[in-house]
Amino acid sequence: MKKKLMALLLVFTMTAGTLAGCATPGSSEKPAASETGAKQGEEGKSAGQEDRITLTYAQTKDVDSLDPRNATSTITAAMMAQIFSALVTTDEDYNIVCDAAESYELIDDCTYKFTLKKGIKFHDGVEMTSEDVKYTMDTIRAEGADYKLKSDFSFMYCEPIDDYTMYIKTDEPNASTLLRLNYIKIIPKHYVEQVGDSEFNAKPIGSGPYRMVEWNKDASIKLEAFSDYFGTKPSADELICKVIPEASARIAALEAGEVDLISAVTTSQISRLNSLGNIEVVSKPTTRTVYYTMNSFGDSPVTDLKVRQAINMAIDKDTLVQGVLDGYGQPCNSLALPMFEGYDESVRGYEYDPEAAKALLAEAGYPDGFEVEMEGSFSGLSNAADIAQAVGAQLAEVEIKTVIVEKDSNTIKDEYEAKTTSPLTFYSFGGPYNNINLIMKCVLGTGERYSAWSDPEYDKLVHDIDTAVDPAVSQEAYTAIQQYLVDHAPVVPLYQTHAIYAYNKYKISQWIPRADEMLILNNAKIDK
Amino acid sequence: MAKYLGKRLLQSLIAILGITIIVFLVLNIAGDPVALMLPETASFEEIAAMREKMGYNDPIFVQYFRFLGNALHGDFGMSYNYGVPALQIVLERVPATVTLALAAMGISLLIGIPAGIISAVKRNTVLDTVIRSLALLGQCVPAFWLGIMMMLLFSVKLKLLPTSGFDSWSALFMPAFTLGVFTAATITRMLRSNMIEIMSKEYIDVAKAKGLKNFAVVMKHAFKNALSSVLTVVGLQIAGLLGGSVITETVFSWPGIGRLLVQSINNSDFMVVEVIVILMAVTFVVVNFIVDVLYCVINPRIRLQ
Repeated sequence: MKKKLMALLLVFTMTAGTLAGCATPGSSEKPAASETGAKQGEEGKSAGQEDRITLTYAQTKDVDSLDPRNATSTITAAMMAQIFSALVTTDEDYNIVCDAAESYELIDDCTYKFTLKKGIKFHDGVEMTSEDVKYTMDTIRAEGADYKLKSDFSFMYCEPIDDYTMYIKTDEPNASTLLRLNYIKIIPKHYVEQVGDSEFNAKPIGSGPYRMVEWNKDASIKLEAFSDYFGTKPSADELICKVIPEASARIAALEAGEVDLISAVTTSQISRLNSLGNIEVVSKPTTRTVYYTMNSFGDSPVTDLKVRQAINMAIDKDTLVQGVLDGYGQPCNSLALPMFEGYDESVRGYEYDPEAAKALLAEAGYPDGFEVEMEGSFSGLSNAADIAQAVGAQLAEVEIKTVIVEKDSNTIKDEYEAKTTSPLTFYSFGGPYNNINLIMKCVLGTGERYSAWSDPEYDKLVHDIDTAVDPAVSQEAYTAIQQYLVDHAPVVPLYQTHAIYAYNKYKISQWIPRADEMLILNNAKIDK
Repeated sequence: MAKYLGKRLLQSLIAILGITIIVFLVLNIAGDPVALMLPETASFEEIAAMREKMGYNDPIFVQYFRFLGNALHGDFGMSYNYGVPALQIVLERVPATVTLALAAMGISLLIGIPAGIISAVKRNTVLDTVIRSLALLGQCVPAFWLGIMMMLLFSVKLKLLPTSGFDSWSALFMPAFTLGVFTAATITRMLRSNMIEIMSKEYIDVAKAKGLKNFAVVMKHAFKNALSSVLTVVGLQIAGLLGGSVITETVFSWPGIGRLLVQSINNSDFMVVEVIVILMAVTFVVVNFIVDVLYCVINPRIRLQ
């Protein structure tokens, strides 16, 4: 009898326990908080709950951090742009414009003088001064600091003149200073010193258009418009950013009306979404270029200039983009993209010409072609494996047989370090502060992390564009380095990627996506 | 009994220690994560300096004992990606995964036990065929597909349930069902075959012969004896579920351990991966231990062996 009871008890506890165990996920006190409207801000907002406009969008990943000094990923940097402001920022087309700065001028090759707008308030009401800018840049640069921004941003520092004016200086002349300043989001010295880094990361205070309300890691971030924001007030009172990693689930959430906008739309879904009537799909060229590097170390055929030129001529980029990417990409002939400062359209890259390619191969001593390994990591970029297959097929037309090998990106990074990459390596480079200087240096500079190329002449050209701060003199250097790519053909540029978004067109209008893939809708008109 | 438990406990501890060695070695073979901790443009010098600072240049056994010593103090190192202690990152995700696991288990027991019993009792009837077909389907259908289909039906078409979210009961239903279907099907099939076997035993005939009602025969004599098989399934499944379900959590944007694991592997956030794998392994060992103990309670024959 005892055993019988025990057995029954066991079944009962198993069932009851499981049911009792699943008490309300999150917290039982706030059922469906997101649906019942906004949680009142600490101060209590003047706008009534009913009149508030909430914009909900979904993206693929959560932010890594809410401390702008650790914001290197595009998604994190975009969130930082909502909560914080920087001296300068970029507009939708990647032009540098003033943000917290009233004005700036170039004093000498290593010095800019900045004047701060007066009356900029942090979210706790304290006014921003040049001391906050200095504190931000000093902490990034500090000995022993390990903020993610450190390696790319510690070349510059701030010397305040008074509360509103300051010098931004660099150790050496650096043409990327202004663009990089966009990512130095100014943090409040008084607050960070008081609460420390970890509390600041949990409850950040900035001077941007929105203030942080709630961060549910890997689920959502809720922001609320900051009434004392110094710039143009964004049209949504509340911003909810949801993390939905699965592409089909993002589309379902958009169709169900749970979110108003989604990023990273798969090309195969575009025509269906367009046919629904209430959804608009937009795409925008990004700062990311997809290309093949050719390993100049070792003794493969690609060490011959004629072979490299032939490979460049054998690839029909228009067909790749139209056929594989459904047109969602921009064929390119250089690592320098038209949106980058210093781009020179008169420098023409290689046009598709398979006959000329065959002739060059014959001249180089390969009349019957050759076989070559072509490697790549295809998981991070949409349709990458298909692109590689298509390139392989196009090269086969000129008798270059390719063996496509997929490797994980860490392995390829190690190979770049050891200079043992395949003769042809599929790669892409982009990100929130990409420009000609950065991509040219990282992809082809001697000893750089994504480079299988080494030429002192090239390194000098990189140095020239890096140190030519004055735009009047820098164009010549920019043109020279773009011409080098044509003369020496060290890479095969393929295309510029597109970012694809879909949104509810009755809710969002007049929105222009940004070239740097940061999802910021402050320039859009948002309806209820 | 105490001797048996002591032996099992010792085995569990050895298993856990073995797991830490394997996890540590495998992650070390996978390469050092320093290059990924720094931005795309960091120089080789910066990488080398960081490698030295993080102690990746020490011999492997020195690194292991340092890791083990710290782990015993609850220190698994900092997450590279989030810049906070790895253990904290993982523990923040535990409630979401436990909630989902228990809800899924609840659903699977509620479906699986009645379905298994009915299927066995009504053997070779239309009802049995339907249940068996559904069970087969439940085991075959991929969680990914089921999740998306449910989303299209309940969220997009009927607008009854949210596609994702972690803040309401309604958001829990679809992921819990998706996850529970497989276990429900397994329980149904297991229970059915066990019940059928037991129902042919002589003591069942005896029970029937002495005039017991059919319901009493099924529940008191057959089901009770078939329970140990269910317990095995539940034990194994619950341990698996507590480790997080990668696919279901990803499809429904559920902020649990499974998704964190995949993200951390992608980001080479090795400290977080270590914590999760060890946590999963320990959960398995502990649940198995508990199941073994429960076996002894419901079936003394095992204890005697």
